[in-house]
Amino acid sequence: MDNAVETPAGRTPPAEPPFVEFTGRRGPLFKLVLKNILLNVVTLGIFRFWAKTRVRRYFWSNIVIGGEPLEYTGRGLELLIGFLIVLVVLVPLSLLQSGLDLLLQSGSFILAGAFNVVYLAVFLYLIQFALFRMWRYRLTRTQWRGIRFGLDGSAFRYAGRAFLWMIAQMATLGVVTPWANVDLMRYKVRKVHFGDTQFGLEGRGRDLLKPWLITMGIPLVIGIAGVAGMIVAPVARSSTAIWPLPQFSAWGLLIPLAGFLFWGLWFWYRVQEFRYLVGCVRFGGAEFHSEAQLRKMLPALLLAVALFFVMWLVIGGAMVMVVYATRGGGGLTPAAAFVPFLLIFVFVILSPLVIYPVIMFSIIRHIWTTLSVSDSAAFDAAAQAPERAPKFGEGLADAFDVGAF
Amino acid sequence: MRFAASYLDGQSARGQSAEVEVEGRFLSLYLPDGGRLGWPLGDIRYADPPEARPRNLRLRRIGTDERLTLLSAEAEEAVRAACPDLRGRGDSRHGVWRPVLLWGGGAAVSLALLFWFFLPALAGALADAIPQSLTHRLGGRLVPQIAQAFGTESGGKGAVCADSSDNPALAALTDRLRPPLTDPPLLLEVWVIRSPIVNAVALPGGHVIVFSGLLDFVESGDELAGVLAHEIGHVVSRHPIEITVERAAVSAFFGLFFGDITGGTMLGGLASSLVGNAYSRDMERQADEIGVELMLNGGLDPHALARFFARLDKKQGRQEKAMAFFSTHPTSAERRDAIQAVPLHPRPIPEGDWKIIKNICKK
Repeated sequence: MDNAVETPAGRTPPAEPPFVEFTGRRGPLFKLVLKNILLNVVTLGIFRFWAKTRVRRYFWSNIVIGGEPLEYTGRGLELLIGFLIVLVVLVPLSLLQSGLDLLLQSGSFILAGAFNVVYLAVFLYLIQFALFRMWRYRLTRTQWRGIRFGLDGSAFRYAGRAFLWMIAQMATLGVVTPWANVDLMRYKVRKVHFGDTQFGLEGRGRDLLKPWLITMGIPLVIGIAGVAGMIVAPVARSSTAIWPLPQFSAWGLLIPLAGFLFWGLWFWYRVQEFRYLVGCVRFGGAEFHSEAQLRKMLPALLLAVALFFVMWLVIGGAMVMVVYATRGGGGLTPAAAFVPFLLIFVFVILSPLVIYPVIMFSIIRHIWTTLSVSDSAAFDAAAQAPERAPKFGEGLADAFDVGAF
Repeated sequence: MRFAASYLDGQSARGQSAEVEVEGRFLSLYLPDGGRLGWPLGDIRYADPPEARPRNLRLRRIGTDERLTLLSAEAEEAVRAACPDLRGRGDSRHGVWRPVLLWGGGAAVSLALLFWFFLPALAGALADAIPQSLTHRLGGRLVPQIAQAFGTESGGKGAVCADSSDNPALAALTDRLRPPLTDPPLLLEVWVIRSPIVNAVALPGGHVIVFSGLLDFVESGDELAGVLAHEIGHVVSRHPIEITVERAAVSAFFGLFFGDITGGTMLGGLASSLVGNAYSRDMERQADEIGVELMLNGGLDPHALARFFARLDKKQGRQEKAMAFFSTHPTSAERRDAIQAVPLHPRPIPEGDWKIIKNICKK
């Protein structure tokens, strides 16, 4: 009782700040992105490596953990070198591909088909390889409390593992997805170290089976109902006919509905999976916990989806205009046909103004501010590990355009 | 005066409290265990970028993983006043440009191989693999585009004046220059577009465009035949498809290099560059050789070809290369010397046909 009297009414004692904070503001990021865009245009895009570096530094330095911000120590030049390496490796590789493809096409149809399957497989493998290299680059360029993060393990092995899982997913129509994702995440997280201390991950794919079955199952049932409905009650019933497409019954509408539902549920599943996996992470005696909610990220996600649709609308519109112009219709000159290309160009150039300060900002802020750690003292024990970082950037990932930012 | 601070030694994630003081050219750090460190003032940098908003000012010492957090405004003021280069460059990493040069050079070699060896081979393979009728159809789509971009409409008539498929005089001349002994016969279509440009262009698929400015410039049917034979020489040697493939590769490369993700600039560049002639001197020579053969075969005097280019050179000399299109052509003297033969059985172009063709855009 006495203690209560000592605290004046309406005032609570100063609370300990949360262990994880996000201190970013949209304004400075917007200005930063705008500056990047201008420099990108002036340098014909070569500045993009430095632009990426600046944006990362912004986000890293605004994620404050236990009062100490993350630091991004990567450099634009490293990304440029990575890109040049890829240019040396990838250009001859793609040449080999197109050359062999041409040779085989003039030969046998089956051989050419088999070759393309192999090429696709190599391509998918390389994407996973590039992703692992990208994580390694980013982690080795991340410091906290002066201590570097790192990622051990082999990108070849990881890519092989991811590739095998991909085949398993195809073979089982996606049912094994939770096992695949947990296994790959386990492989990755167990190779992450902060200083001399490894992270761990204790998770089982079957824990995610329920949300995944919901995500797959509901749209599947609706889709099957749609197909069945179209077979059982075809055309004839005028009451179920749709006006513009009288040859299809209204049951057919269930199929696109199932598609959209799957899309939405997939976002929901990803959030469930993220929370589950965060909960599985271990560091020394510390456990992690995420309260991330799809509902809170929905505006940003919907904006991203809208942006995606608008982009394809612009590109589609441009294509239509070009086809129209080449057919000589409507007095459109070829000069006018370049207008849509200009439009696409402007759209692509300006889209980062929405992507970073609005979409990425919201999602990153939500994910980090909903993260908590059970035992923050666990980090105190970590000591610096000798540097074993890749020298250069994430060239392959840049070339394949994987990785959000 | 000593200020409170928090120090991370770059070896352990455990921070320790410290006191700091500016002393001479150093920032001295007094640690709880009695240790004392000196950071040279010139080596101290802000640890966070300007866009970050740390609660307290954080510093780092270049070349190390050490960090220092100042815990009072007075300390910040003292450090800001004492350190000359807080916003300066980070760690100087020696030899950082070496890999740029190394891999940049590698990329250049890779590209050189691409353009000198691989693309010509690819173009050849493409030309073999794609049936003639398809390239003819695809090339034909470019004609209206070129007509719109470079032609002028006149009196409600379009920019395309005639085409060898519906003009018998033009068809007769084209047939006379068609290479013999090819199976199936080479698909050729000659178009006349109303335009002051003095030029002719070969497109992929056996389309040859003659701008009407050329018809005004030539002095005889033989000279026109010479230009046509030269362009057909390009068609026979598959030069148009070769430069098309090359340009596509160039734009694809620039797309990759400059991070173009839409392909918009690629398509745009491709469409516009198709019109511009950029054959190499070797290609021009080859086209000349074949052109001369075709003229002899058609009973026409190949000296008309040399005469035409000589007159064109003279005109260009006067007009200061207003027509830069022909700038890669061999010199007229070279051309005159290269042409020795005259046809055994000369068959001049009928006067009536030549009149029709000459005035094809004036109807």
